[in-house]
Amino acid sequence: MNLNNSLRKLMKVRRKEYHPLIRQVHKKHNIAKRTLFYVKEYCSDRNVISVILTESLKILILASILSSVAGFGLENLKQQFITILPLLILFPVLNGLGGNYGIIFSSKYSTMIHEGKIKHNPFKSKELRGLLIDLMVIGVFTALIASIFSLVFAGLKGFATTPSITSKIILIAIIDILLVSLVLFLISVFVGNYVYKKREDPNNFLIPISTSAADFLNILILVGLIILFF
Amino acid sequence: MSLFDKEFNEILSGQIVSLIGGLIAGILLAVYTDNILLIPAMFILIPGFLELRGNISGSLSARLSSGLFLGVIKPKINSDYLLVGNVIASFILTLAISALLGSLAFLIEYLIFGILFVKIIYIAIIAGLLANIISIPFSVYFTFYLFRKGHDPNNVMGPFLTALGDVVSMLSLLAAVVLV
Repeated sequence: MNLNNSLRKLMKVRRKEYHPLIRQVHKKHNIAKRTLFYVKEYCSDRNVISVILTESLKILILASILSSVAGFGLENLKQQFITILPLLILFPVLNGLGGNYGIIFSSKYSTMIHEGKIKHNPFKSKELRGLLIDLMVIGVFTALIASIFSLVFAGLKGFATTPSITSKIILIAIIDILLVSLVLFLISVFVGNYVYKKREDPNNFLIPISTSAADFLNILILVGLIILFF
Repeated sequence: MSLFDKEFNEILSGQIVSLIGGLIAGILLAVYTDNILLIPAMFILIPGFLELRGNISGSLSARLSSGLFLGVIKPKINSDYLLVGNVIASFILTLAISALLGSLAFLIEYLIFGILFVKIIYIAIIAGLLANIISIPFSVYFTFYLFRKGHDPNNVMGPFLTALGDVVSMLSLLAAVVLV
């Protein structure tokens, strides 16, 4: 079957239903599964604007509510953020890194489920453990780099640090990213398995759930750590 | 399995791009603290606003990639309904969610902190509009560019859009504060 026919067939597959055709086209034509997922979800003959609006609004509204609740926690700590400048610089970095982890964990875990790499006990999967270790190592490295840069830029803006503040900021960044990774890993595994058992495509649920959870968790953990350390 | 394998390097590269975008956004926050953060409810608005850009532009880029592979969208800017429909839907979504984020920030600030600051809604809408003007054309142009060069845009655009989204969102918020 040529690519165009495969993609047109995929368009007719019912939404929220995983279809083996995705895997076949992915393997044969080397097109990302995410692309194929969107072919299935959005490229039907329905009205483009209304389809996008109706399918995106719910999850975006939920994400907005979660973000605003988390923002309320930040608003309470406004004074600490303004006076401890490195924390202010770090906040968007940690938020971005956590959100990316949500996408990485959920999309890779969904792929592992579909490829049959996850057996009865997902925690025994060598590949899954490898992914967690990769992300934790990258997390520690990026958190360290981010905290050093934030301290340097804050210093340039006149923030006077001490060894105690420096170590606390580095620790906050590292603990935050490690805890976020761990919780996202658990969310991906448990929600992914649950959704798959219900015969739904984990891709449809895991990415929005885990990215929203990552942002929410990141802020909650950050707020908790700031209260603990400062 | 080696720790520093291809997958490790790919994830690390994406995270470094995201880190750079986040750092620029953080530095903008620190430099313009007085303009941005001393405004009531701004901290309630910022997390959602930062998240919004990546979500909407990322989805737009993914949908366009699908259309490109399917052959229903040509990799050039034109008045094709699928392209225009995607762009319009992304604009509407950003404006609607920006207004919602502004309203939530206003409500939380008023109900919990007792501060009545309606301007936060206008700031959110204007910032959303400004950010759209930059990030949506960027998403469309680079999705087409990558496709023309033989890449699958989905594999490349995610971290770049998140990084760009952080910087553009922060600059837009700053501009909106000045305008309002």
